[in-house]
Amino acid sequence: MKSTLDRKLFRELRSSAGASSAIAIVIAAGVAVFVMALSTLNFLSHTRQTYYDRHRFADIFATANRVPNHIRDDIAKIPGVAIVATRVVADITITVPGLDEPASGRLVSLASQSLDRDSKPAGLNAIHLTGGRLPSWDAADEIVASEAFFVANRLALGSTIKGLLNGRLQEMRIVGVALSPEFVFQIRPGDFLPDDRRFGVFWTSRQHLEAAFDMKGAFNDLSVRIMRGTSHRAVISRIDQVLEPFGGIGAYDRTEQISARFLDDEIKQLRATGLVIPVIFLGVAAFLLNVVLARRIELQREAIAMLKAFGYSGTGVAWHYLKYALLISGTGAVIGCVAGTWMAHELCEMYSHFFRFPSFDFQPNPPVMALAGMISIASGSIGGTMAVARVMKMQPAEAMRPPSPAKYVHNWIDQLWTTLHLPPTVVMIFRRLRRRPITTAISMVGIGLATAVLMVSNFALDAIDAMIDFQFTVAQRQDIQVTFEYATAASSIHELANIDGVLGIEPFRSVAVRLSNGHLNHRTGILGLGQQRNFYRLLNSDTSTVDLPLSGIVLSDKLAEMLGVSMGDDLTIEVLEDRRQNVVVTVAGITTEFSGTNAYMDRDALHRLLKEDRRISGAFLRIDSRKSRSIYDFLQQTPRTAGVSIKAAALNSIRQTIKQNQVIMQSFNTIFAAIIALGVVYNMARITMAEQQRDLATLQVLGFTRMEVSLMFLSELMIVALLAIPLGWLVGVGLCYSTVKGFESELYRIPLVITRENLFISAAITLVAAITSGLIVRRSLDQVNLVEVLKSHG
Amino acid sequence: MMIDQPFVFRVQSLCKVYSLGEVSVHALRGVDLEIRKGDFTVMLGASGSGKSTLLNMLGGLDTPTSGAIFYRDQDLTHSTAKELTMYRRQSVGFVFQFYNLIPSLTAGENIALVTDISDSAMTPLEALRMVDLADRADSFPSQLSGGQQQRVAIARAIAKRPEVLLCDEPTGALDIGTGVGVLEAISAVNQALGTTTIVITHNVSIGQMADRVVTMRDGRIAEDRRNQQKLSPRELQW
Repeated sequence: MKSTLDRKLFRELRSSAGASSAIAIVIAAGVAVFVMALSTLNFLSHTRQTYYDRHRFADIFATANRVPNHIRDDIAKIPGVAIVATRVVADITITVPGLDEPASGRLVSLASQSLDRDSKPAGLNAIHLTGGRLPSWDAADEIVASEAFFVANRLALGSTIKGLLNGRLQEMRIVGVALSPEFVFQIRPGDFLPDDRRFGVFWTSRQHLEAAFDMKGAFNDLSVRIMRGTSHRAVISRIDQVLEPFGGIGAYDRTEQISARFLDDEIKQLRATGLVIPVIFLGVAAFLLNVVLARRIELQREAIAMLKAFGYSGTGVAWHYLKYALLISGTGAVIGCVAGTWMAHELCEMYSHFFRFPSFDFQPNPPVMALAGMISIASGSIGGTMAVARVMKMQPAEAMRPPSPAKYVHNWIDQLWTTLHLPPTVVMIFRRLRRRPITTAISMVGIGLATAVLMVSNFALDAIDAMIDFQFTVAQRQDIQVTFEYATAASSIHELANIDGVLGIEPFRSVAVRLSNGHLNHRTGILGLGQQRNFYRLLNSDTSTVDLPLSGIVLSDKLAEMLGVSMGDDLTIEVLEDRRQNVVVTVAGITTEFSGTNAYMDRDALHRLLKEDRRISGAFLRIDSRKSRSIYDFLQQTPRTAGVSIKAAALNSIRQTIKQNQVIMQSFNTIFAAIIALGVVYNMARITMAEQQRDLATLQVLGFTRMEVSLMFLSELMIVALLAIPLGWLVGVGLCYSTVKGFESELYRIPLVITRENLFISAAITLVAAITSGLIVRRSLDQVNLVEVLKSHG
Repeated sequence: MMIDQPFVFRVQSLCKVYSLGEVSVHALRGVDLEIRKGDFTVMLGASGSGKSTLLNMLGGLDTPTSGAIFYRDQDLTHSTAKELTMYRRQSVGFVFQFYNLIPSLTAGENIALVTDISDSAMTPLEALRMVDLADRADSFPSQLSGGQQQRVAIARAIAKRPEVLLCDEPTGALDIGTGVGVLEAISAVNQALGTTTIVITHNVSIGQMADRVVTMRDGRIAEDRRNQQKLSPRELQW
């Protein structure tokens, strides 16, 4: 049976439905983001693990120029190696129906034994057919296309694409569609976001690839699974030794495999957002509960005194009020869990398209929900307990006496009011704010936090825009990047330069290297650039140019940080191709970059380092956009071209990709930030109204119009909101900075960009929330019974 | 005494029914009353007799269910909220049991609050002088005793030289000595400014200082008499 006190509790909850729901919703928002982030995180980790296990994703990967098949046995004998799979892999330029510009493809050979059986693929990195069938063993033109590419280009089974295989144009027919653990995140090497229309992975029979690329009896790609407990480092080093004579380009493990690394980064970022934002939300909610309960208790001092006078213990009364906090936070937790699970479902579905997992099996996550529930109830209890502690202290007799008027004293500021001849109504507002600096400060912090959360939620897209602008407009000004299959004589540049419509060309040399500084090392590429550069610029963060010195190496800021080096330090370069030189160079510059971990050298210096003639790996082109079609056609048929990367297309695709995932995340955050803003301000308005009701009623009795009284009430709220906004901006910058740090990965970083629009929008939403809440709460002035209010003690 | 003076209030068949959920409370059951300019009227009655309801309607804080109230020629019954606000602003001074001073304003500023929005107001200092508190103009309410706070409230009420001063249990929260001081202030204002004054109270003896004593019972006027001889507040036996 419900006790009388419980009945009181429920009735009061009903009568304060507005304020209670506002707090519950803020808590729900925090819990929802928490549940969403952690459930998604859990889903991603679990799905990834299952996928990797079921499809036998390799532990170590290596590529070389041409390795005889028997070497496979040498690899298998390396201690700790469990399974070895060899393949032929080739990057090609392709022509896709319906796509003007050339696209790139990666051809991967399928394990022959799987083709024999014509059933489930065997070996490592097994593909997962989602449609069609595997290529026939003897059909040279049959391929399986990666699902992302297949869907993005709206292809059908039976569609054909043209590929330039080792200089020969060949038609390939799509007979199947598949997913692979190697390409969960399908990205062209060198890009930093996927472009599913212009990059695809294609699997075909090994026999076919061997024939096309002169690989009979040989392979150029190796995957290895190692035994549990084996050192990756040791196996990698042995593999490197074995492959060295065959042009091995340094083996690497899963942490450096591009798709796996993207997935790891995404999970890392999710972990950051999964904790930071909910902590803010729940903190704000706890603070609101404290403020609201404190006020409620203040208003009920007589009732509390009466209960105590009748013999209720302090603890009993305190528990009564704590239950209020717990009920609200409990309700918030339940709403949050349901909403968070729904959001996680939506997010995971989006991720399943983005990351291409074979199955989308989202399950609600009870442990996460239980944790969220516990955290929210704990935050509710903390908020409640602080307020309730006051009940415990209150003496019955003290509370029963009518309260003496709030204490005000003169100080120097009063002189100011007098000097300025401010009307008493204005003086009232300023004195109230000044007299209760803590309450005013708490209100400011609450509203400021809302502004800050709004800022963070707007920040991500601004930052990504700034990053794209810096990277693709300011730094890299080419239209097209052409990459050759192998480094070729510098003279081949003329062929490209002579294409009709090419306005400018800048060749580059790139080489795979491992850079080391003591125990720190990183596998990357050095891009050798000419001194006369207009297209590919190295910049400082303020967009001033970084000179490329005639000797020494320039590192991207992230790479320098990872290697623990700064200007003037020495670094060891281990070339991973051809002669595999080991050279010590000096860090001669650091450039700001928001994607990748790149290193740069003067092209001639790189030639000297490689002890080679002037050879080039590709070129950056500026083109006349009116002639793009014919240029694309030409490039599609040019032998030696391994890849053509079109900046405009890439940018377009990046923007679309970002729209897809970042916008969803951001809209959730913005909605919640707005809820917080509204929740905080609404509660502040309620509290201000409760505190001022008597004064405002007195003013009405004295002959002030409702409009005048409403303006006074709203002015106080607006002053607090206006003071809170700069504070919110300050906190917001801090939160944005922590987001920058949370997002920071090898693949990409975002700059700390606080746009004027962001400052304006966050302030505007806060003010709109303040005005809206003020107007909602102000309505109670119309309904107030002046006489009743005046007769009360206040 | 004031027989020749014009009527300030004319109340005709005034009824007020409050609906409290499923129960209807008849606060006023057909009250007829006329109050002349300058009259000092004390309304007596037990709790629930309807005296406060009547006072609130006279002050434009509440509207009747039926009947009519005229303030001079203004029909308060059919006045809009805005008209009532202007009526209160220009013509009525209120004094309440719990003073209702704004705690964040000094005594002088509390009065300035009213004088700022009226045309023919006295200065805050003049008003304070009338209640003998000129030296406390800069004190905040929390720095004043209950009696002093109530006197500031009176000064605030009369500073705009209102036609009527309505006091609801002005001594209800005060001890005898302090209460007398407050009543003296009210009486002084009535005499000095000729303000029509209505004081409602439980305290029968306060009736002895009035020109007229109206006793209410059960929503009706039970007795309406004029004092032949008025006592000063100091002479009252509490």
